[in-house]
Amino acid sequence: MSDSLPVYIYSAAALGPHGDLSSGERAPIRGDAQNVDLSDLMDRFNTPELRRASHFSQLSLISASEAIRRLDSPIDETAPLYFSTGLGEELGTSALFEDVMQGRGESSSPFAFVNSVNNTTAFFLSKIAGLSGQSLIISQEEFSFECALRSACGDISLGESCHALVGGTDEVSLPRADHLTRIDLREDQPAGEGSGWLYLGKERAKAIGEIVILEEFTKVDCISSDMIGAIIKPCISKKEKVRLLPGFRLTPEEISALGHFYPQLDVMDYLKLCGCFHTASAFGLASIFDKAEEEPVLYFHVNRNAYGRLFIVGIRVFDERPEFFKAGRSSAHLLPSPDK
Amino acid sequence: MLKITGVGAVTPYGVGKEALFQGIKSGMPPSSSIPSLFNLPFSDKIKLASFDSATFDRKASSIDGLILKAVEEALHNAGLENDSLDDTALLVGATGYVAAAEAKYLEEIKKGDPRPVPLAIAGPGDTSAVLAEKLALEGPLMTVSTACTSGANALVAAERMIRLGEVRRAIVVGVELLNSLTISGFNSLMLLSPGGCRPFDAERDGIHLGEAIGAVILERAETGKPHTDEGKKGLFLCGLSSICDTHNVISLNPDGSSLLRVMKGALLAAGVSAGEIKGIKAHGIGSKDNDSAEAKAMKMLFKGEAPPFTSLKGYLGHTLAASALVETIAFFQCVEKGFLPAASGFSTEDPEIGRSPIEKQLPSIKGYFLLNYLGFGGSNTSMVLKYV
Repeated sequence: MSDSLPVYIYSAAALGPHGDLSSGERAPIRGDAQNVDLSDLMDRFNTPELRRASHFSQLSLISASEAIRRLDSPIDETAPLYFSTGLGEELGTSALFEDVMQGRGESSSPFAFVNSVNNTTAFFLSKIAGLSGQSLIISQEEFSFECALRSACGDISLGESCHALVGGTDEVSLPRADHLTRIDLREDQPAGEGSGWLYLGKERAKAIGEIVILEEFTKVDCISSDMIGAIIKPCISKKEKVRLLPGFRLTPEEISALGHFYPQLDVMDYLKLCGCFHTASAFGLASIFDKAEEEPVLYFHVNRNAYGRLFIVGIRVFDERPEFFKAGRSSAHLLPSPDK
Repeated sequence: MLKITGVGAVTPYGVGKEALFQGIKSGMPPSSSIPSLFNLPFSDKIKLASFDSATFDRKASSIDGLILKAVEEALHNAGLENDSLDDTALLVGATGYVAAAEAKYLEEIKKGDPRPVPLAIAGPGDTSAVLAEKLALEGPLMTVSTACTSGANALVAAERMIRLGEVRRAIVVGVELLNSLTISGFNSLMLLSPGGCRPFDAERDGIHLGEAIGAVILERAETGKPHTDEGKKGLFLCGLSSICDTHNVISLNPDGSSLLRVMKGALLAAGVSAGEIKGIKAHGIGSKDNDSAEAKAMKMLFKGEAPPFTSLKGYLGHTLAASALVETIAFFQCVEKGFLPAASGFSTEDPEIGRSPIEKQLPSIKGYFLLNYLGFGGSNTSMVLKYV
């Protein structure tokens, strides 16, 4: 994958479990996320079909449209959409599942079924963004967003597309005990939800950041700081900060061990803002652009899965960025809605 | 150019590509009944193409076992059964494994739990990780979930991974297991035909659902182990195109324009003109609107000189996420054995369409073929393959 990089980032947005779209609105999560009502944020859309949009679709649409709003120039209509999710439309599908299994399937609403298909959210994302290219929904547990990012960067590198909109969304389904039958979390890990989006391309001009590492490793029994250092260090340039974003599958011991490979390494626990979910890395990697920085910062996200695989994503955030990326507030009230 | 060096299938006709071929050759749909574990108050009004419910219990481990059978057949067929798969990607097209969640739910009820957890299964990506472990596969894994085009889009992603040089080869799998939720959903949309799919027929009245697993091995033509004498013969994937048509979430743009665009895209990617296409495996779902739009698109693309076209959904039903893999395998099994299969279920030409699909098996010739796959959410995919 390294031959395809760097790929540049022109815009980013992340929506957290409090309905937060910017660093000023974010707050630590207390307990599991609670499916906050997003109807106020949905007011930006004039599309009548979205009146029945599910919570999962709402999370995706609000976050993706924010990334599009923040673009410096109009979105490339031919850009493909890479949409990742670990569990997809969980709330609606669980309810429909129960109806059907209890013999009430004949009277269930067709909208409930249509909304249960992940493609429906991708369809509305393409529609509100005005995209007509390929739309790909990728679901690979804790590496869903990483796989989507890898596909997008590969396709841009091949010349299949000049740009790509890449994101990830997952929602929490309560009660927690039910949710834990679908995602394995430690007792101390809050179940989270959210969405994060990046808009990518191959040209350096107008970029706010760049993807410099996208590496997956197999048969990793133990994560050592030497191993991570060997991958990250060649990418570190002088006069830049380095920050680690630990994924939700890393143990506190592993996170602590990773901190040793680089003396000035900061650990940024983004999970305390969004909770744990399969595409939390999408939230984490999109939200890094909200922070005001005086110099470039290299962020790297590390996560592993239960099958001995490890995925590292490295993103450099440039110091020159449009003001609203640094302002600590959402641009939702500054720019016109995309469908106006 | 990439080559399909091995194929494997599990369908209602049985386990293996030969069973699939013999089924299609017979011209008859598989004999199957509605599994008793489906909780469907309307089961007497629909038709399904299902696996043998006496031997298949739909538990997660049984599903993994069936997928493995299809993959192992494809690996054997490609001469790779004893090779290391350290440079191989696994891409799975799947809508999710609701069938396994339903089996688990019913089991909990049987055990006395009055309120089992609904949908108590891991996400669709977990299955590919389990398979990769069993196959000792070390390349990238990816599960694509774009409804009825899941398998087709898994092929698109695999083709690009190989072209980019990320991997030497890819195992691409399409999986669809029937379940009560999906059947009820299609019923609520009034898309199910009581008598079964009649593609492009004047009296067509909807789809019937099916289940299947298809697997192919995709390799660079120069590195693939030849399954013919010279390696220059066989089945080649020449070009693919995939788009999102935002006209309507559940149906194709009725003017055919979006499908026309994706078919043109596939021809362009393959470097082939419409006139070089020897036959078409249409999506041919059997619904009024979609077949009409597909026929319009074919008419516009071929300008009256259209090659013979067929649909396989009268045999297999609509196998959703598996349809691209299993229909591609079935179609080229027939081409390889010398014929283009008839569109089972068709009997009367629709005056609005003005053309009939293949009614009786036609002798096939070598060359380029166009295959269409369409899905919910405006996902349209076309591909050009060459059989030499």
